[in-house]
Amino acid sequence: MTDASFLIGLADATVSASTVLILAGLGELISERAGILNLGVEGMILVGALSGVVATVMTGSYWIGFAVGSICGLLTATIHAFLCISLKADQAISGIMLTLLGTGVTTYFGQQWASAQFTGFPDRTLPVIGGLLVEIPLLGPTVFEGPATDFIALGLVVAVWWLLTRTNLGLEMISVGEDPETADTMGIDVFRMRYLAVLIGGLLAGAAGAHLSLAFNGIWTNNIAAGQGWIAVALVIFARWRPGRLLVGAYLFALFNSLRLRSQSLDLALGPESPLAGLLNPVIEFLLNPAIMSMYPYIVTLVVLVATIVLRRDDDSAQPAALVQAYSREAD
Amino acid sequence: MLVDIEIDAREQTPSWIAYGTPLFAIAAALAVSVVALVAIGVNPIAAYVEMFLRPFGTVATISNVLVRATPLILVGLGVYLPMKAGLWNIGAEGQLLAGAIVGTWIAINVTLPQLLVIPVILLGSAIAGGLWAFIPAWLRAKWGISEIITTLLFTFIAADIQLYLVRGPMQGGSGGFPQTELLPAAAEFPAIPGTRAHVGLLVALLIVVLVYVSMNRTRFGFRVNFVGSNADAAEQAGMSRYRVYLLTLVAGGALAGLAGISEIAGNQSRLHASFAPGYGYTAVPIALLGRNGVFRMLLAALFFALLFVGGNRVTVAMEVPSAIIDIVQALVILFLITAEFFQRYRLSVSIGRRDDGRSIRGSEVTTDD
Amino acid sequence: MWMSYIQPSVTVMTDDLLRMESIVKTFPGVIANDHVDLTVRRGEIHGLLGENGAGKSTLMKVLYGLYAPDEGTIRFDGEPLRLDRPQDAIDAGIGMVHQHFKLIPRLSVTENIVLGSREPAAPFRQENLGDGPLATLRSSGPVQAVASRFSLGLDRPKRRISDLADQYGFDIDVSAPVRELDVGQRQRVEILKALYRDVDLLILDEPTAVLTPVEAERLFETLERLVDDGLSVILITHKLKEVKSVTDRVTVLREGEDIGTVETATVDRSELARMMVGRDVLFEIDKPDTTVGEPVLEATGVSAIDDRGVDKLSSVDVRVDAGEIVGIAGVSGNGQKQLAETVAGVRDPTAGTIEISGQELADAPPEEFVAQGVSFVPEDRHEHGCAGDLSVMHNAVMKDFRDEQFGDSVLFDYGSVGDFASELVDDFDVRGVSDVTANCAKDLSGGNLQKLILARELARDPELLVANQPTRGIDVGAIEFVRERLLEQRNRGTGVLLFSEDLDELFDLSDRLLVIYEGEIVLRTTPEETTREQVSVEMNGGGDAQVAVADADPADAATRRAADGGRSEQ
Repeated sequence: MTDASFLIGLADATVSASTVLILAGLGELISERAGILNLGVEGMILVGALSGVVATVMTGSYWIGFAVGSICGLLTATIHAFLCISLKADQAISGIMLTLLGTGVTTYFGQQWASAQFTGFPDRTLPVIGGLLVEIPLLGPTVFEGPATDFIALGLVVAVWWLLTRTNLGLEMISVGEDPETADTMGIDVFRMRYLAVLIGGLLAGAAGAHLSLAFNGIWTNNIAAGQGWIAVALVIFARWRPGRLLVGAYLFALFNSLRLRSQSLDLALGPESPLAGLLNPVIEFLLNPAIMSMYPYIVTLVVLVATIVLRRDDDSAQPAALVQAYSREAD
Repeated sequence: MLVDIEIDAREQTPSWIAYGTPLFAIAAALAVSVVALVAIGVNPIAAYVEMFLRPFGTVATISNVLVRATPLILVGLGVYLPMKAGLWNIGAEGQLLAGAIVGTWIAINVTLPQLLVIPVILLGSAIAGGLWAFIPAWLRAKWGISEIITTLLFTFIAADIQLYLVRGPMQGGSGGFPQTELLPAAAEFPAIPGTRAHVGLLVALLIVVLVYVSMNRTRFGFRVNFVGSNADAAEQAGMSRYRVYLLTLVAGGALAGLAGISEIAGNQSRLHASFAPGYGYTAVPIALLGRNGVFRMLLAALFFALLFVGGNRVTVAMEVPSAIIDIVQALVILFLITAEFFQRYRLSVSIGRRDDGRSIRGSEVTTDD
Repeated sequence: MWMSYIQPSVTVMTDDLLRMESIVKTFPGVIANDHVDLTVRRGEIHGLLGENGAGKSTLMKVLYGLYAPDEGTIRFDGEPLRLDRPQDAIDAGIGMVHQHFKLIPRLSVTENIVLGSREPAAPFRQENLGDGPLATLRSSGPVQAVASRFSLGLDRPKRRISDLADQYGFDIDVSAPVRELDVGQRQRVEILKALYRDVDLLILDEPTAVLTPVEAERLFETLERLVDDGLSVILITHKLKEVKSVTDRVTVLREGEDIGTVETATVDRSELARMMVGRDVLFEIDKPDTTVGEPVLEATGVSAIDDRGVDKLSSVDVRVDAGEIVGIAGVSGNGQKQLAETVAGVRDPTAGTIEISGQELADAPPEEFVAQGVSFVPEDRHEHGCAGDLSVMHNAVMKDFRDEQFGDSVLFDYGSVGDFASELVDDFDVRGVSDVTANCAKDLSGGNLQKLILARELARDPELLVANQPTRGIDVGAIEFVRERLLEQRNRGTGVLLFSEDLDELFDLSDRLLVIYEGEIVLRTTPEETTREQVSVEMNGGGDAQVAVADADPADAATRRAADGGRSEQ
C-alpha cells in the first residue's frame, strides 16, 4: 500500500537504479551532440562491467576496477569512432555489431568470473556535509547515501551541462554535430572533435557498466546490462539531447523499473464497492504487470519522438542536425 | 623523409574486390576469433573443423543446418527487402516475435485440418509481422522519422509483450515454465521425408525465388531499386516513395513474422520465452553480406546457420562458450564495413618527399620589386 | 570592340591590396580560369562580373584557399601568399561571405561568430591577469590551455560584436539564436564574422541572390561604409545593376577568360552587358520555320513556394505550343526552378492551373504528368536526374519503364530494356559506356550524363519538354549536341520550355522569349524583336532610363509596354 516505508523504498531504489542510466545516457548524449549515433552502448556497458570486476578482483581496489572498466568502455568506443568517423561506415550497423560483440565477448569470457567474490563500492555519504544531509528526513538517506558512483554520476550531469553550454570545447562539439562543414570552415578539426565525443561516450558507458557490477549489483552475471544500454539510447531521445532533462528522464525510467520490481505490493485496484471495479480492475492489473511495465520507457520515448517531429517543434532541444551524417571534406 | 598516406575515391571498384569482400570479412573474423579460442586453451583448428566441416558429416547434421537456416532465410529477407528501398529494418526481431506470438495463438486455438490450418497460421503470422512493421513504416514514409530507432523500440515492446503472454495468458504446459503449451500435431509443419528439415524451408526457398523475381523481373522491383538509390529522382519520374517505403517495410515485417512461426511450428513446437536467439539481429549481417543479390543473401543465411550449428557443436564437444557465435557474427560485419571503405577508396602509401602540386609557383619566388 | 576595355594591369603598387596574376585553373576537360588577372585596391569595391560558369567562383575559391591554382601568383599586401586551406586565407586577412551561409541555426549570433577562436573566460584573459602569484599561475601555459578549452568568455566578444553592429547600423540581437534571424540579418552576421576577424579584404559571393531589393540596398550601404573604413571588397555578381551602382572598378570574366578591368564610371550598363555576354555567336544553328500547333502547356496564374516555404512564383502565365521553343531568361534564383518543377509536375503549385494538352493537372501526382507526355531535364543532374548507383540501363528507362514494350503487366523484360538503353547510348553518343548494365550513372562525365538524361526524356517523343539549364557545366561539344537535339525535337512538334542563363543559347534556340524576375514574367518578346542588352537589363529588374533610351527602338518599346500592361499572353 502507499505507506511511507513503501515510498521510501521506492525512492531509494529509483535513485540507485538511475545511476547507470545517467552515466550511459550522458555518454550517448555527448556522442550524439557531436553527430555520432552510438548504438553500441549496451555492449560498452557490458565490457565495462566485466573488465571492472576482473580488475577489482586482481587488484583488490574497486577504484582501480572502476577506472579500468571506464577505459575498456572507451577502447570499445574507439572501434566505433574509427569505423564511423574515419571510415564513414554506417553508424547504426557499427553500433549494433559492437553491442553484439560486447555481449559475445563478455559472455564468452565472463563465465569464470560469475562467481568471483570482491568488495565493491560501499554505501557512504558525501564527505564533510554528508553527515548533515543524511539527516534530512526521507530525502536524506535516499539521495545522500549511496555508493560513490551515484555522486559521480550526479556531478557529471552538471559537468556535461557545463561542458556543452559553458566551454569552447562544448561549443565546438555541438558545431560538428550541427554542421560539420561550417565547423570546418571555422578552423575546427571535425574528426578530432567527433573522436573526442565518441570516446567520452565510451568512457561513460564503461563507467556505467563498472558501476553496475561494482556498486549496484556487487557481482558479475552474464548480460548484466539487461537492456539498460538501449534504455539509455531511448533516454537521450526522450531528453531531447539535454543533460537536465536526461536526469529527469533517468529518474522517470528508473521509477518505472523500481515500480515494476515492486508491482506485487502495488495494489491500485478499485474496491468492490466502486461501480467501475469490474471494468477497470483487469485494465489496472494489466497495466501493472511487470512485463507490461517494462515497456513503458520505450512507449514514452516513441511518443516523445513522434510528437516532437509531427508537431514540428524546432526548438532548442531538437535533434542535432548532422546526427548520423559522416563528414569528409569535399575534394576538388 | 615523409610517409604519406593518400586516400582517393575510386572511380570504379575492381570486380575482384567487390566479390571478394564478403569472403575477406569472414576470413578475417575467423582469424581474429582464434584469439578467443586460444585464450581458453582450445585448439582453433580443431574447433573450426568441428564448427564448419563436421556439420556436413551426415544427412542428419546437414538437415540441422537447414532447420537453422529456415528462419534465418526468412528474417534475412525481411531485412533485405527494405534495404533495397534504402531502409534499415533493424527491428526485424520484433516482427519475428509478433509473427511467432500470433501464429502460436492460432495454432493452439484454431482447430482445422492440417491442410487448412497451416496456411491460416502462415497468413496470420505474416499479417502480425507486417502490422508490427507498419507503424515504423508509416512514420518513415509520412514523417521521415528514422526507422532504425522506431523498429528497435518496437522490438523491445514486442519482447515485453511476449514475456507477458508466456508468463500469463498464453502460459501452458506443465511446471509453470514461461512457455505455451505444445502445438497440436495438425499445426506442426510436416518434415521433409528423411530429414529434420520441414516445409518451412520450402516456403522460405519459394519466397527467395519470389523476391528474386519481383526485384529483378518486375516493375515493382525496378521502382524499389530506384527509390533505394535516389528517392528524389524516383519521385521526379513519378514513382511513389511513400508507397515503396510502406510496402517494402511492411513486407519485410511479414517475412520476419513468417520466420518466427516457422521456428515454432517447424522446430520447437511451442513458444518459449527465449525461443529465438536473436535471429532478428542476425538478419542484419545476413542482409548486409548478401546485399548484392538475393541468392547471395541465401548463401549468407546458410553460412550463419552453419555458424549457429557449428557453434553449438563446439560448445558441447569442446566446452567453448556458445557466445563464440556472437563474436564471429559481429566480427564478420565489423570487418565487412571496414572492407567496404576500401571498396570505395584507394589507399596509397608513399615514402619520400611529397610533391602534390599544391604549391603556388609564385609563393616560392622572393620579393623582387 | 570590347577588346578596347582591357587596361594594362600595371598600377601603383602602394594602392594595391591584392594582386592575382595570370591565374590558371583547369579541371578535367575545362579551363575554368585562363590566365586571369585581378587587382584590388585598398578601399575599393571591386566587382567581379560574369555569367554562370564564367569562372568567378573558381577564382575566388583559389583566393580563399579552397582550390590550388595550376599557375599564377597571388600577392596580398605586397607579400606573396601561399594558401593551402581556408584558415590560411583567414589568417592573412581575407574573409568570405558564402552564397550559402555558413551559420549554425541553433547557436547564437555571438557563438557563431566566435566559434573556433577559443575565447577563454574573463579571469583567464591577458588583460585581466593583473599581478601576483595567482596571476602568474593563471597565465601559465597549461592553465591557459585548459582555460581556452574548458571555459568560454562570451562577454567581451559580445561587446565587441555589438559595437561592430552599431558601427555599421546592424539591428541584430547578438544573443539571439541565428535560426530566429531572417536572411538579411544572417548575411549581416556573416559580415560580422569577417569583421570580427579583422579582415582587410571581404569577398561576397552573389550576396543579393537571397535578398529582397530593400535588403540589397541596405547591404550596399554597409559595403560603402566598410570601404570608407579602409576595407576592400570583392563583389561577385552577374547583376549589372549592382555593378553599376556600387562598384568602383569591375573585372569581367567570360568562359574563363579575363575580358578586362574597367572603371565602372566610364562604362554604361549596355557596354557591361556586351562585355559579359559577348557578341560572337558560339554555334551556327540552323533554325527552320515550323508551324506552331495546339498549346501543349497552358499554365495560368501559377504561384509556388520553395522548400523553405518562401514565395518564389507569383501568378505566372506561360503557354507553350507544339513545335515551338519558349525560352525563359532570368538570373538564378528568380523562380525559374519553381516554375520548371511546377509545370513538370514535380512541385505542387500553391495557386493556378496547369493544363497539359488540354488536361488540367495542377494537383496531379508526377506520374500523371509523365503519362501525359511531359519530359523534364532537371537543373541538378545528380540529385534529381539520375540514380547514380544504378546502371545506365536503369537510368535510361527511369521514365519509360511503364511502357508496354518492356514487358507485360507482370514481368519486366530487362533484355529489351538493355537493348533500348544501348540504342539510346549509341543514338546520343553517350561516351564512357562499355556495358549499359554494368556502368553506373555516377561514373559518367557531366556532359555524357546529360546526354543520357536528354536521350531518356526525348526517346518518349514528349508533348512537352521542360529543360532547366540543360547545358550548364558541360563541355562545349556536348553543349552543341544538346542544343541541336532540342531544336530537332521542336521540329518534330514537341513544345519546349527552355530555362537558361546563357543568352546566346536562348537567342539561338527560342521562338519566343520570356524574362522572369522575382517570380514574375516581366518581358514577353521574341529574339528578333529584342536585343541581348535589353534582356540582360530586364533580367536585372528593369532598366534605368539611360539604357532604355539608348537601346530603344519601336519594337522594344512595344514589347515593354506589353510587359508592363499585363501578363496576358499576346
